Amino acid sequence: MIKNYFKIAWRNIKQRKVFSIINILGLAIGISTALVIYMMVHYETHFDTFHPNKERIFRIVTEMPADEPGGEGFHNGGVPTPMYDAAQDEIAAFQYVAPVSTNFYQTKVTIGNEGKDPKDFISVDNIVVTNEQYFDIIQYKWLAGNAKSMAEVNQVVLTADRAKQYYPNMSFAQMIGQGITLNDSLHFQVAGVVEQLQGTTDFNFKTFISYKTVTTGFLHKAWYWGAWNSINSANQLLVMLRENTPIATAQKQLWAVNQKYIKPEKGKTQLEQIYHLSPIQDLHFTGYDNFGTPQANKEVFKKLTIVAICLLLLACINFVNLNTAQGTTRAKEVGIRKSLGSSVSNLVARFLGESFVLTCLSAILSICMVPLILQQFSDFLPGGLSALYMFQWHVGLFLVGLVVVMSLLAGLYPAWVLSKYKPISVLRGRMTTNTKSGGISLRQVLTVLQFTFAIGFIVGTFIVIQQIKYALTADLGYRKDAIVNIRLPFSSKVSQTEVFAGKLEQMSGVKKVSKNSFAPSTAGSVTMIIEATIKGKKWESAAQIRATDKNYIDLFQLELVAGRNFLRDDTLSEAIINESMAKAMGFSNPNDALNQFVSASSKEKLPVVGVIKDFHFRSFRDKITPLMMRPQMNMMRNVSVLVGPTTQGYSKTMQQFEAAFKSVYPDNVFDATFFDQQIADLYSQERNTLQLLSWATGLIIFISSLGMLGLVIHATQSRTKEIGVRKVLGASVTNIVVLVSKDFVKLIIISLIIATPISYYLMKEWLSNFAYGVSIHWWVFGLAGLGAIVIAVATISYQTIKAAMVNPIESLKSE
Amino acid sequence: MIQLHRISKYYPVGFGKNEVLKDVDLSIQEGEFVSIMGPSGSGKSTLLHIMGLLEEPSAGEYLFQYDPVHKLSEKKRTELHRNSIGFVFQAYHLIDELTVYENIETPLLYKNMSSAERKSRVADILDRFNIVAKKDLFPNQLSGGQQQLVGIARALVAEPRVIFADEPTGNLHSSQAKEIMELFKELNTKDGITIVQVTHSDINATFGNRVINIADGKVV
Repeated sequence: MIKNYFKIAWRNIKQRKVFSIINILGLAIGISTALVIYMMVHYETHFDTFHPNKERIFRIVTEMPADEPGGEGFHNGGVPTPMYDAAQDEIAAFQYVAPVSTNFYQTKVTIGNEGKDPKDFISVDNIVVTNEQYFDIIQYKWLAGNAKSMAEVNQVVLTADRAKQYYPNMSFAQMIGQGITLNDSLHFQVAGVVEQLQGTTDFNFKTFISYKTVTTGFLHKAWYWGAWNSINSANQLLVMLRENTPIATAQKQLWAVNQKYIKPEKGKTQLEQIYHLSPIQDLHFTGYDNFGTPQANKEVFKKLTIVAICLLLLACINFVNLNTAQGTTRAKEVGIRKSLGSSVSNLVARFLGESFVLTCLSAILSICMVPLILQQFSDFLPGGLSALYMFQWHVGLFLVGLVVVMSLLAGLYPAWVLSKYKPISVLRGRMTTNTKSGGISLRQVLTVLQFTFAIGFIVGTFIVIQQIKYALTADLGYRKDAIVNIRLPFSSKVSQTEVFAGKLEQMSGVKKVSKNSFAPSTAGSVTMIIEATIKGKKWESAAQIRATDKNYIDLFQLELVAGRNFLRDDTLSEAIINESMAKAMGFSNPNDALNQFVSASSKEKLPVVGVIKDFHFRSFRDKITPLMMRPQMNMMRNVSVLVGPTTQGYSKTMQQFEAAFKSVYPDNVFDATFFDQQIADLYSQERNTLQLLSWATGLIIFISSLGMLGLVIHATQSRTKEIGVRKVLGASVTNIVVLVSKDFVKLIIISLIIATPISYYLMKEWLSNFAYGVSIHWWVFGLAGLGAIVIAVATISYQTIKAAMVNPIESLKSE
Repeated sequence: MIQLHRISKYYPVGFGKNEVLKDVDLSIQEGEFVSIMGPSGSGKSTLLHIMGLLEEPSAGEYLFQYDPVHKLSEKKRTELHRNSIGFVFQAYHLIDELTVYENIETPLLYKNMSSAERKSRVADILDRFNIVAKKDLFPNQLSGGQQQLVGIARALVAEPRVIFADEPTGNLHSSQAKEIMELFKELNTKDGITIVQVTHSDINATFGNRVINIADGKVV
């Protein structure tokens, strides 16, 4: 019997091609979206789940609470470096303590002992400074050597793939004791080779440098290690609790250390830093940064799931609408089957069989669509996710589950309605056409629901576009066009920076050059606690720090509202602050802030010589906060170049820059970006949202239009006779088109009325993420409604006009 | 086999009601071939539908094989449709999406018969009705007479005790009609199947052994 049902289902699908295609396409879009989102969520939530004892592994992270209660403080995945020793010596709950420091980046690596046939690798990443205990916490398979020697100075452990790259002709055992030099100055011995971790992980390190190397020697100073008030997300700390130690005990001991070393500001009770234990399974999710690897956002998962559910729901609505609309044609079959002895459950099974076959076809189609979606959204999806990820048992299970749920959801209601038909009314030909029964039909409600979704998404897309456009074109308070930012290597010495900047200045196309730590607007940030004594009282606040030279203000066209620019930029002797900082210090008139002394460390005391107008130094999501600029040459690893207008494009200028760069830094990679591009990149998250939203909107409109198309085909078919009679009585084509269309347009207007307040509320919520957001205009809703009506009328016009053009003789003859 | 006591059927119309059948008393014995005749709108089709359990009477008592039908559950009625009752319709009412073979097989599917038995039963009946060559065709590829032949084959395949035929030859021309009626006669005499038909035609009525005349919802 089941076989028989499937056979009939298949024949029905083939016979009603248009309806089947509409159903399959809609369902396939929904299913493939759900599949990709499921794969993504599964991938992202299964990072670092394979570590033995993972429930005992934690990271210590730092929270810097806001001054005022309820304000937003700072979060940092790092700890002050003295914490490394404090955690080791003073917290009994920790079995293992391992620093994880990622201060090396774009490093030059030289292989070969002392000048004998050296081999250079430039710009090497994935280097970590850690100790022997790291390998007790994160367990690697050792191919040669062991972790013990990592407790010594100048030791290095390599992963197998990197070791093979450095020493292609050696066995792993032979590599032990080989020499490696970093940045021409640090000499190491290979102490061991480990296999890379198997499984999805954020621990992507390939070169492990022994921690002792940094505790002594010049790096300790160069990296500003050793101070409790300096927190850098590059200096993280991994710990493993002793067995059977409650987390609360560890947290208590950590709190004791916290209180011992970190004191509250005068007159306050709040500590300036609070340390937390953060479990390893939270490592991959946003909140605290994570060795610079891309992280996932659980909020985004939620939104994506909503999108998937919307699409699936809309596809189901199409199915329900089209099948109940075809009730008249189906009713005859129901009547005959009942008279032959079919029970209601037999009939329900028969119709569910059909929805099941349709859903299966859609599932097959969606499997083919998944690789295309992955390609389209490659910027948005995690890098490790490929179409091959689909061929796992749990994905298969999810798909099967989805097919079953969808076929029940889509098929149950139509099956129930159809099987309830009384056989006698059908067989006698007294079947009511059921297109209009006076009240509101479920079909109308569902269509309204579909278009409510569609209009809501159109409104959302409009507003996100407006916000991004505003962010990219609004006056940010500084110049952003025709500026190239060139990033200098980490190892750049002050003298090299000077030479390189000098070379650029002499080029003909260059108007101005500024050395600095960051351009005005950037994703990265450095925060320090600034102290001052104002009217005899001690004042403290966190502030953004920029190292800038005296060209900075001119080049970026920042506006000085009080005081003057730096006189010289070779010594750390003066400071310029922004208006917000002047206000934070208690000076409503910026002139009063001049000549106050501020200090970021006990060693320095800088007079404020100028106050600049506030500018947006981060994205519009963030409020403008205190900022301090000072000429600190050794922090300047960015050179900004203002180029003059050119007719030949900038590629030649860029080549000149690269040549100059190579002459100063032969071993490093040239990394230059136009500033306006960097600003656009600040909004990559919003643009991802926009891309996603546009696609979701497009698909929702597409699915809803398909559904409407199906309904209008049915409406014109079942009203063929009516249309024929009306034409005979003198109705024009226009009359007929209006007659059929007005029912649908009415539904869309109802949708608009429902969608308006809901989408207004939701978009208000979204805009509240921005400290500086656009306001919502009423015309957006009008435009969205108009758009939906235009789309709907375009969809149905072909069918209605076709029906209206038919010669009435033809439609009436067949009766 | 069939006993009707004071069966009435009416539909509400406005504030009043439209009576189609009024206090019909009727009994049909097993093995009879009954023709119900009467003018249009006299209620003969309604009577047939009530006997065939497709419609419920508004009042009265109906015993089918001594079971009070009006007290039967939906499940029990379905059971009767599966095992005891066969229908033949004026408009044939074959399922358009199914082939001749599948149309005939459908009632057997609802009887949960094994596939081998279904095959042999359908093959037998195709053979008996001489339509083996047509078994893979769809209804719209057949002439009216052939469709009705399939309709009867479908009614017979489940081996019912009674066949209700609603103007089975109404859409056929006279020579085809004659063939169908001869077939009914044969089924009645040879196989002992009770047949109740509604007809307008005096000729058709002569094939049966009893005529019930109906006018204005009453047996006359």
